[in-house]
Amino acid sequence: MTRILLVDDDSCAVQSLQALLEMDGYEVRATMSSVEALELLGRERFDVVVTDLEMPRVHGVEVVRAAIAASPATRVYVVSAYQGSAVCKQAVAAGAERAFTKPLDYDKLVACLPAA
Amino acid sequence: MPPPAATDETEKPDQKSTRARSSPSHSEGDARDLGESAELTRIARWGWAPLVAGCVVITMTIVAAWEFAMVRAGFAPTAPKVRALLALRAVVTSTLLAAWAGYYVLRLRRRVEAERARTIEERHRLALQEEHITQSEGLVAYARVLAHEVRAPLHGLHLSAKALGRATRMEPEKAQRYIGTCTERIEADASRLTALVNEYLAASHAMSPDAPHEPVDLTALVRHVAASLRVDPAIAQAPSLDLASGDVRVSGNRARLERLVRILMEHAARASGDGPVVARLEREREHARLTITDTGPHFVDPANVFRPFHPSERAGAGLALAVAHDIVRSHAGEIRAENLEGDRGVRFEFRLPLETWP
Repeated sequence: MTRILLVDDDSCAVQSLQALLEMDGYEVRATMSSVEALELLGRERFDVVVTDLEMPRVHGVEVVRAAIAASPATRVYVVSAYQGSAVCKQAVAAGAERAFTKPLDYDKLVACLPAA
Repeated sequence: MPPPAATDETEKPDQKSTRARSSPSHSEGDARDLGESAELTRIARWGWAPLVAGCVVITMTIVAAWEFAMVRAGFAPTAPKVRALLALRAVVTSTLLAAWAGYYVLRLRRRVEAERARTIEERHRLALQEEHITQSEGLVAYARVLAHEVRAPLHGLHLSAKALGRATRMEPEKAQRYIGTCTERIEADASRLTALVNEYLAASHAMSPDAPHEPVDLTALVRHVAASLRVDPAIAQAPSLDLASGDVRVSGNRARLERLVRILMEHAARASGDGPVVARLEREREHARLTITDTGPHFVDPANVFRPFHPSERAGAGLALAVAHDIVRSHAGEIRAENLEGDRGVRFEFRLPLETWP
């Protein structure tokens, strides 16, 4: 089963996205703390990471770098309120496959994911 | 007695001129200009007398010296009557010339004075215009950030609505697991959107460019805000006060300054929970300084806490601290936030110019 890590400090968004992905058959681990995300990436393996960018303490770009460093095969997607911003470009440069803009088009995200 | 909140945004013409004169960045220059202007008015009204008298004395001295020299050289007429008439003619002619010169100089001075008054008026107008532009730019910047911030709850709403739609097509037992939580999240996101809009409206009110300035006693204002927080059920521990004796007066807009103090005290009290918060107001040479020390968690990035919607684990992301920053800036003051030594505690400090030096 495809394992997905969701990282977003917005509890409503992260829970709803988790619910949708679980309905589609994915195994989802969600966290609202980017610090916890780094810990999870250090000890667990994920096929996909979907992370917000603007978060306190550890920025989403750092999460992208940590995910790629932990497993280069991991697909990383970032979600940001700032379309085409410098941080989105930084995230893609750090290894993210694609940057999505909030509000997220869920169908577009699922189209990028491997089968559950 | 707590100071009455200034809620009336209408502005009388005399208030307008008072505000223009007491505009923080121009008050010193304006006072100097007004002093010079009063001096010029005094000269224009009474300055002709010594000028004309001086001219007459100088002319008479010259005529007397000339006559004396002519007599010594033997060229002067000997008949006393002729000499007296010549001297009188010289004095009258010189007096008329002196009076005309004095009148001309004073006319020039009046024109210079009128021009100076026009320049001062124009400078006031430009200063006010500049202040309005700065505040409008601030609101545009807030609106730009707000447009991004609403994306987060919209993002949640989209996802929750989609999940809810999917859940309604599931078997009832399985659907129950999602429907309740999705509905709660939709309500939460709708509340966040409402809060964002309300916050922006409050910010735009606080940044209103037509807010008049007046003398404000910060001591009374701080007491008033602290008293209102003591009866606020959402605040566990209102700030304790350590206030300088006597008035600490600044020139500013009472409603904005009250909002500034409320933002900082509320922020500190909410972040501290049951922990103590201390507000200390003191005079520091030509400034009033308010320091609010709390026992809440540290800021991750203290240098950026005054950015609009900067994410903070202390009190979430919002406009409140950005508004506080802009209020201080519009009163020609300074504000900063710093983490205290140790694991917890933050100190906010702002300084505003005193209305009069102690």
